[in-house]
Amino acid sequence: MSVYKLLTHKYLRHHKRRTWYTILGIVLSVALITSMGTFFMGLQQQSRVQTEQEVGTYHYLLTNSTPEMLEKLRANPSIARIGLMHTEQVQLPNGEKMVLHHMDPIAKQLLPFHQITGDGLIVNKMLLYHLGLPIQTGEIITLKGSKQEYKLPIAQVIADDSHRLFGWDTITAYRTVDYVEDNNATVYLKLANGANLERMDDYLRELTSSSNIVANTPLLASLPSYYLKPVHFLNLLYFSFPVHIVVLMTFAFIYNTFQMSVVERTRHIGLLRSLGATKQQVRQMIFYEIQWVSMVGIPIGLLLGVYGLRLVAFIYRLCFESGSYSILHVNFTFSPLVILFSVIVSGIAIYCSAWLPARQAVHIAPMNGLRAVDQGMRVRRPAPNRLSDVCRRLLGIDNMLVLRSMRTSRKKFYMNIFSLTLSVFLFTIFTYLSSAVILGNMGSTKQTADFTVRNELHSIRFISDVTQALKGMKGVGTIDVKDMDHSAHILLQPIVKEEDPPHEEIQVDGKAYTDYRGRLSLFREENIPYYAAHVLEGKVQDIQEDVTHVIAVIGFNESYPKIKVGDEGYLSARQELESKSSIPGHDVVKIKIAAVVRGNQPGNLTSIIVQPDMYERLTAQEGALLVPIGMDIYLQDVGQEHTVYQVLKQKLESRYGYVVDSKVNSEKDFSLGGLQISIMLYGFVIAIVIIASLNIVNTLVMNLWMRQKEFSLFRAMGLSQRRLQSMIVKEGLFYGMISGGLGGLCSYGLLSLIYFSTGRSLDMWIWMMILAPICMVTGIGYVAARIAISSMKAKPNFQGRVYD
Amino acid sequence: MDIIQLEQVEKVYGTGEKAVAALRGITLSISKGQFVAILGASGSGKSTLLHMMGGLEPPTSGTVYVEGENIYRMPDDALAIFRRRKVGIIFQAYNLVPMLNVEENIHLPVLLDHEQVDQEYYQDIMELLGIQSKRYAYPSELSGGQQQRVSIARALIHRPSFILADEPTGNLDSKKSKEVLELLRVSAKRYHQTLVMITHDLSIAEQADRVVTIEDGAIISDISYR
Repeated sequence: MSVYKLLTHKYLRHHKRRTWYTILGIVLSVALITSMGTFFMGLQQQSRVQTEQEVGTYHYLLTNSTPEMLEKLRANPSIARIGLMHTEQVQLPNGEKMVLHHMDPIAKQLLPFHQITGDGLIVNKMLLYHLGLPIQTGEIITLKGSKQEYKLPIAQVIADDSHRLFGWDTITAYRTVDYVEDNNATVYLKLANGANLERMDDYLRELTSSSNIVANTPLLASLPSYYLKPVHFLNLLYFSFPVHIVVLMTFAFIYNTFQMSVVERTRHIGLLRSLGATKQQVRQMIFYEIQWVSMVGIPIGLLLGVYGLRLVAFIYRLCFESGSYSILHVNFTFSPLVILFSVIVSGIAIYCSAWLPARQAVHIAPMNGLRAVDQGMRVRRPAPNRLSDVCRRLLGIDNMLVLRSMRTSRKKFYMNIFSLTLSVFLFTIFTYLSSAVILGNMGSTKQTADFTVRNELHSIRFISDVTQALKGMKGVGTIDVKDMDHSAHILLQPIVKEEDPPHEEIQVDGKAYTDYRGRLSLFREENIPYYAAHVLEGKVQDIQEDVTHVIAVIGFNESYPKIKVGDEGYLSARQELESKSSIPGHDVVKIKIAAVVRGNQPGNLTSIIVQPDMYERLTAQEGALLVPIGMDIYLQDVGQEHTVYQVLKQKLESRYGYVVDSKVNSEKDFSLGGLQISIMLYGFVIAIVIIASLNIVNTLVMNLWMRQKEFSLFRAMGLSQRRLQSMIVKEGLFYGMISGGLGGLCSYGLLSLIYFSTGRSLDMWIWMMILAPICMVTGIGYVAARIAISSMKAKPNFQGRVYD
Repeated sequence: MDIIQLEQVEKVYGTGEKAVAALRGITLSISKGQFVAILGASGSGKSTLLHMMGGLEPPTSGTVYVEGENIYRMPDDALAIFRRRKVGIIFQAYNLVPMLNVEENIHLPVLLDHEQVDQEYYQDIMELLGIQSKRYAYPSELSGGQQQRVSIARALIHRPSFILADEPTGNLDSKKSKEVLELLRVSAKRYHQTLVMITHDLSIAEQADRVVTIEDGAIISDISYR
């Protein structure tokens, strides 16, 4: 073993505790980088698998193929698989026409049908609706083609919202055939691994017209190569933001550790130089040290990163239920790419951070090194001034010595402050983000319905039996049945000038009215409890007294009273009114506001609820026959959410085109997902805080080590052990308080910006969020000082010399 | 033949008002194999002169020739190799590496050169210096005198061309001092080494071939006895 290696090993053994702290810091940094890489890789893979399940695995689709074109495509080594599909116009038994797709087995594999087994038709729900068939497989369908008649069983029913494949509201069916002719077919292309997408794009454009080429954009956007394009590279940088933080913290930690190591060994380096060691040999010695700790720390960090994440996922599975926003679906697999990335990134971060101290070491001239004072550091002598005299008197000699000690190495001081400040800042911001996600600050409001039922087909009457089922049901509060939007002009007096939304002025029979652009809705008796629960003024039932009586529904955020009970005016659903400033009275219908209620108004527009007769007069549509597009259900008792949901499912699942959104479910799901992400975020921040803490512990341990003679002198001069320890503790507390203050200031700045931009003022909770991490880092400073003191006590050499 | 030549060497520490001149225009030649004692009061510039000869401290002005070569014109690595192979230096403050034991400290200059230690020669030195029993002890376990002897052994282990000693007997009793001095003289004679020694002890200075006295950074007397 060379003398440099021997010296390094001896040095590492000599400072065992510092060595282990350094290795622990490296382990944590590498583990964080690896776990983040594995996490993002898992997410990306999950997203790709999901995309492939939704849109298939083909990359491009070409229409209107020719045999020559296919010959060229088959000869291209960049194309791995080619699937063909032919379409045929067929007639349903009820006479309706539709398109039947004949696909070859490869096309079936490339489309999201690869998991469907058995021969037969793959149909969407809409087709079954048109045929009046129940949603189930096995039913035989007869389709009449131009050359032959097909009698095929239904192999699979697919969802109506597969519009990426069919186009919206289209009825269609697919079947697998052994062979599809090359001519005039639709070609599905799957590219070989590593194929250049841009070159392929150009190649296809040379082969056929651009209008014949359709890229499978969702799949292409999920490929790793997509993120390497300059425009998307920014996204990659955005997602790799946490990695940058870890790299910064690693840099601060390693730099500080090795800078102190060099300062402490200045004399030894000076001695080695005087005995003939070259600069290169000194550099090798420093790099051997970093190499040794890296060789121990990096593999442990890699293992901890991969298996630690799996352990977290395992614990998550034990603690949480799987939901839409859950990360439990993600499969965190071992990825050689992530391992390589982690080794390179952490290796570069570690070596770059050790490079500066190594540079400092090689520039130590032999005699300068040998002359270095026993503490191993050259103290900056502050210029004497009155202020320092005042400070000394105010702070006392103990505190002045503590501050001077901190000023001894500014770089070390800045690095410690930087890492702790960043910890406080991250802690506060992550707490804010987590609380925003968990408490739903970013999500829904109290006015949102607990359940929303939507009819996507817009043509089937369904409301009455559902409302009947819900009527009087335990836990159900009110129901708001919704109709198709019908824009309306609400002309009322007095004249109100408003900018947002702008109100126009319009003349009716020479009299000026305010034109509120709003919506027209039909009065439904089922909605009376809902209106009654939200009424601001008037009586909802009064609408039934006179046909001209209407209810005004204003949004929850709309100012009141702008429209009042008793206001009279006109209503019109005619679009041509847009361009007019004056209209005769017979073009509009007279109305009187009977009640004003608040409601969940999309776009915050005002709605006018009118009786069926009035509705018919205004829209020429028979109100009684109007099919509602959905309904909002508000629960009285959220505890009954499950029961209500079951009733809705039971009533609606056998029908076509229904969608039920549960706010309670999605909020619970969202909140659970938020909690899972918050735990991960906090895990990340805690790891960052540990690295910062190790940094300050290392600093204080080395500081004590280097100042042992100074402390012995203080003791010899009569300084009590207690007072000496309190000086060390104060140094730790100062580090904590300074960085806590700075971190708090930065957090306050950012949170103020966020709050003021949304028109809110900082509340008590925000102050708590800022104060908590400040207290935390001050505590870290205290604990670090205590660890440093105990580490010194543990050394037999020091027990007799420094303290006792 | 002159092995060391100093021409109008000056050394100034600090700049401006704080500048302190440690050496003022020293010109000195030392022949191969000569034993030179340097005398002078504390702060007169003796150690600076010694370090300058050993390639440890570049002069502010003037030139230092060793074996005919201006050592401060050498590239840094060449100067390091010069120190490693040609110079054996004994520091006043011992300067042992605390993490290395006695044997490792003594072997250090040889190990730095990736060479093998002459075990027979090493045993002789250890025996002569009376530190055989301490070979595995660490510097913190040794007395000042023992540390000084380890420092002397380290300076001799690679048989350098010249030995620069900064008060090597300062911490030794008179008997041990005589033995150490004898060792240095024997080593210098056997290996044709030049010995330059700073001392306050006139009885040691009397044994030197030449005594150079320095005051305020300048040579005030240079007497050759042999």
